[in-house]
Amino acid sequence: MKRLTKDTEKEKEKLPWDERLDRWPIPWYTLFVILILIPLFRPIGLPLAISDPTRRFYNFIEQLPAGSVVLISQGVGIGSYPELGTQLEAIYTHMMRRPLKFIIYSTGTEAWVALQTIAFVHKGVPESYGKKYGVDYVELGIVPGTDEVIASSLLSSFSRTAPTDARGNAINSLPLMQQVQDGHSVNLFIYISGLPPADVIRTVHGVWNIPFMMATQALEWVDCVGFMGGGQMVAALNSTRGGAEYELLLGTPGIGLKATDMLSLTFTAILVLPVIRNIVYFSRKFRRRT
Amino acid sequence: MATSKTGQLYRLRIPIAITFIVGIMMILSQVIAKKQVPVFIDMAGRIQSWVMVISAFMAVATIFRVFVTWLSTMRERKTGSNWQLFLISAIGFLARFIVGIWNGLTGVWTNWILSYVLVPMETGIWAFNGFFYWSTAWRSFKIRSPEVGWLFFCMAVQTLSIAPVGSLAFPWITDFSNWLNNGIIRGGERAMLITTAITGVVVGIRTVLGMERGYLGGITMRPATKGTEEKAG
Repeated sequence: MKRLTKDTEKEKEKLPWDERLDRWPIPWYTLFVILILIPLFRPIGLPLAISDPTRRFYNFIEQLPAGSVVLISQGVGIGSYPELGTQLEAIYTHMMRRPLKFIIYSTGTEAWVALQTIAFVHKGVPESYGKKYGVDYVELGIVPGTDEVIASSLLSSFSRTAPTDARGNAINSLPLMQQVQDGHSVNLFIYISGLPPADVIRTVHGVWNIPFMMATQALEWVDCVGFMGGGQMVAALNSTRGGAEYELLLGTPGIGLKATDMLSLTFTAILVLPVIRNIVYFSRKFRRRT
Repeated sequence: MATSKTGQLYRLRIPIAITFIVGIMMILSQVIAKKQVPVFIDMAGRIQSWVMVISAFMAVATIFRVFVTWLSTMRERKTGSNWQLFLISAIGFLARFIVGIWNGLTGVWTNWILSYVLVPMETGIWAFNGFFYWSTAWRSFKIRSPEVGWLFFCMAVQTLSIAPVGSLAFPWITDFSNWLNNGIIRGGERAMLITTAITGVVVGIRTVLGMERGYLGGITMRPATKGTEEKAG
């Protein structure tokens, strides 16, 4: 072990500093941690312009008539938590403010935990906002299957797809679910997921003609832009930034706005690092030639 | 792998015949569905149900197979095989399996495993990922060719469009990013999708006609003779 360390040290000394960082990136990791910690202790508070899709998302929910039924498919995983968690929190807050009825289901076990912690624990259970279980909202719990199959099956028949809710009640015994038997009674579908929306849109918008909105990760934003351009998607929230913009619109600054400072610092560094690397790379190349 | 005449019948001709009949049945159910021919629609529905049953069986068989592999690795205890990790995986698998069967999908113990074991572990793994992405930015973006330069430019635009600092420094960046997404990236993605779809149709036709035999595990048509082997697939 001692010998190995010695050899490694020798090898390390031979390399130029930039290539040394390739193999032993501890300084970068330290910098990364520092950049994340700075906004936690001292928020920078850079101004955030609200984008059109976020404004459309907010306005659509704001303009829904009282008593409209919103079906929310939420798939916030641990990996997608930084991006989708902020959005779920903001959407949940908005749903609590408006006199709307909603049915929410989780597409996986992690998603169910996320719903309990992000929405119900951080923001308070719907009862604390005057909503009554079974009348104003229903939680279906975890509905197994792939997202498009769940959506398609639920919209065909809620009671056959999920015979009991998350609390073990028979679906047909809940007043809200007696009104909402299938997709005909749903006025809006909100899809919170890091997966491509194409298959779910095909069912929700294509078959049932229900307005479709999505809260997505940055990776899937390209898909959302395409569908919004085509008119199949009303609006979408783009990653942490979308969640933060939504918080601004709601007037409730939360974790999303805190995270945008971290985004600004770390993303700037992610861009600066390759620039420095290329300057070093090209200057060395040029020196070798001359 | 050459087979005898009986072997050919059971392992080659019958599977190809089943593939042909099922494939044609599914195609007809889609093509003639508009004309409402109940036989084809009914058959297609039955075939889809069979597929679901077989998929469920395959999932169980796969889990069983993986578990058996873990057990044999643990029994052999070869140096460098990391059998200890397999032991931990097997214990974790069994614990989750038993609790899941006994306690259901939303039971107290299932939730305990989720909240206090799976979620913290996965959070740790994703946090590691963050560090890897970070050091990758340093390691991978040496602009050695115009293609890498273009890739770096797109990455910079997309990154700046998400971070508030980007739209503050360059107010045009969001519009430009949208144009990039909607025009160039989306266009390229659609082209790839169309290509994949066409390839899927061609492979489907070849499979139904018995020309594509990769799924048969490389069985040859005739008994092998010296130097000449007609390979399947």
